[in-house]
Amino acid sequence: MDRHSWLERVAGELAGRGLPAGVRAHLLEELQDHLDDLTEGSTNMAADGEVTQRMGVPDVLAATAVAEYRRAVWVRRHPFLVFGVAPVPAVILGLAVYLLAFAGVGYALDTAGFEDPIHESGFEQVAATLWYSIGFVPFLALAAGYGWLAVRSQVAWGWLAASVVQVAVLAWLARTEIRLSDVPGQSQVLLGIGFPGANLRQLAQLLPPLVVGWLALRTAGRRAAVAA
Amino acid sequence: MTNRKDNDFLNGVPELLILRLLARQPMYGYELVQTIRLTSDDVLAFGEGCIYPILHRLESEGCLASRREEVAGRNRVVYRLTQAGRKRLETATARWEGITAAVGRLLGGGSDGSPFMA
Repeated sequence: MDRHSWLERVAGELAGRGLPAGVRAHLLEELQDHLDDLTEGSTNMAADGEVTQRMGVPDVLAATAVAEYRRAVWVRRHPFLVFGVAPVPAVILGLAVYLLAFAGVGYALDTAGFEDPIHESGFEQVAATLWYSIGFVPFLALAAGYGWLAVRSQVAWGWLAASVVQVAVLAWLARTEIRLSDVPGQSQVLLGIGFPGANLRQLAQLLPPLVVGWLALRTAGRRAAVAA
Repeated sequence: MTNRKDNDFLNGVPELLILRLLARQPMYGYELVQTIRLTSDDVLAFGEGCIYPILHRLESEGCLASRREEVAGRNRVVYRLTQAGRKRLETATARWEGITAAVGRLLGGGSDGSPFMA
C-alpha cells in the first residue's frame, strides 16, 4: 500500500466512524506532514509497503483517533446533561458560593470590630456591594464558563444558546433584598425569583449573560470556520 | 507493526512519553516519534500515526499548545507543554512508577509466584 492509498484508507475509516470533518482534516494534515518526513528518510517507502508498517494499520489508527476524541470531549458526548440540565443547579450553586464568600467577608469585618463606626460603615458597604452585584457577577461568571466550555468542546451552537438563555432568564428573575438590622446577627439577605415588571435592575441583569453568550457564539463560529 | 493488543497494553505509555519529551523542549510529531524510537532502541515502536490523536487529545485537554512553525525548511505543527501538562506529567509519572514498583515486587516474589510474607 503506497502513502496515497494509505491516507485514503485512513480518511475513509475516520469518516466511516463518524469523526467530525474538522477533526479529520486536522489529523490527516499532520499524517501527511509525517509521511512527507518519512519519505525524505526512505525513498523506496512507497514501493515496499513500509507505510503501513511504520504508520500503523488504517482501521487501528482510526479506532485510536475516535477513542481519543471521545476521551477528550466528555462534555460533547453529554451536551444535554451539561448544557440542558446543569445550568439551573449551577446557578443555585453559584449564588450559594457568592453568598458564602460575602458572608466570609462580613464575618471578617465583624471579628475585626463591628462596634467600631468605621467598620460598621465598611459592613454596610459590603452589604451594598452584595446587593448590587449578586444579580450580575454569578450569572456573568456562569455565562462565561458555559461559553468557554462550549468553545473548547466544540459543541453545537444550540447547546451554548440553551445554557446561556437559562442563565440569563434566571438572572432576569433574580430578586435580592437586604434588611440591615442594628441588632448584631439580625441582618438578613433575601434571595428569590419574581417577574421584574418595571424593575429596571432586573432587566439590566438580563443583558450581561446574553452579551457574554453572544461573544462566545461568535468565537465558536470563527473557530468552526477555521476548522472547516 | 501495531495491533489492537499492543494498543491496549501500551495505553497510557505514549502519553507519558510525549509529556516527558515535551517537558524537555517543544517538538513536532515526527520528531517525537523518532526520539522515542531512537531512545528506546526501537523497543517502544508503535504505529507512528497513533501519536497524533493522542497529541490532539492532550491539546484539547489543555496539556499541550501547538503552533505551525517553520522548522528545517518545512512548515510543521510544533507542540509545547503547558502548565496543566506539567501537572499531568507529574501525575502520570507517579502512576507509572507505582505500576512498575508493583510489577517489580510481583516479579521479585517467590518462584512459585507467592508473595513474600513479612
